Amino acid sequence: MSQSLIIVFLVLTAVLALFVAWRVQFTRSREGKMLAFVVLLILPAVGVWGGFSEHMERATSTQFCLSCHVMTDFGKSLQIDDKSYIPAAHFQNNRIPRDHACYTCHTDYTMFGTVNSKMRGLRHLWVQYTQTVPKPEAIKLYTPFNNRECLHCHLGARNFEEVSSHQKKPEQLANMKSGKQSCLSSGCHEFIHDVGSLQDAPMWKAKK
Amino acid sequence: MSTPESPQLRPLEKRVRFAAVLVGAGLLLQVATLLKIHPLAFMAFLMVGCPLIAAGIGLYLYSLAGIRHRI
Repeated sequence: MSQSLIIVFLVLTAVLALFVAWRVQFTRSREGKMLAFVVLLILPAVGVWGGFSEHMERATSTQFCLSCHVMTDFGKSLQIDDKSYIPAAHFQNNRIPRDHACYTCHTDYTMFGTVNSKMRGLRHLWVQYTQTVPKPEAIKLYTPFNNRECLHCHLGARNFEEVSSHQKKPEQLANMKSGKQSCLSSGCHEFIHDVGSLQDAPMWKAKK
Repeated sequence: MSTPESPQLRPLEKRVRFAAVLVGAGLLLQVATLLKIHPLAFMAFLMVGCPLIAAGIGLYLYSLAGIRHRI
């Protein structure tokens, strides 16, 4: 369901609900009872489901993540003009969808990955409004970045499996796939969101 | 919106009216949260909009259960 369709649906349901409230004597008739049943039970349930789905979808958008001020620098780091910066290279070369850039790499690709992400998001919101927000450069991941998130897209890709740097040792690929060797912290792809050096970094601007 | 009071309004209808107001208010709030992409909009949807609608639906179902009880 598209966003505008959901909004129209919710507004119509609200108008009908308020009509029932205004002309509640109408529910004495059989038609009125049926209308009340649909308007006060069926339609709101569908509306809540539609609204929740839309909000969950929005919560995966880059705009949503960057709407908190503390995330602004992380958004800027996607524009660094340097191929060795993993997030920037992924973002600028469309290896990840730009409108879902944060979520694509920072969700856990597990059964409860989305739920865990939302719970962490709730904690971030709590900190944002009730505690002291740390500086962007002080923000770290809760746990080391799991290779699973990289392999979700790269596993089986020719430029991942056959690239010479992944073939230096016979067991290298197997170690990466099993998580024994980290893609990021092993020193191969260590340039991530370096928000501390943004001021001096050259920035890339997309041609329109 | 004016809500015309009827002297013959039954207790059940008063509950249905209140339930409809709760549902309507919850739905309108949900519409408002969909106009902005922000974590607080999501929280308002979850913490205010959904409980309002749930309370409205619950009150409406309670009213229906009351009818059955009397029968």
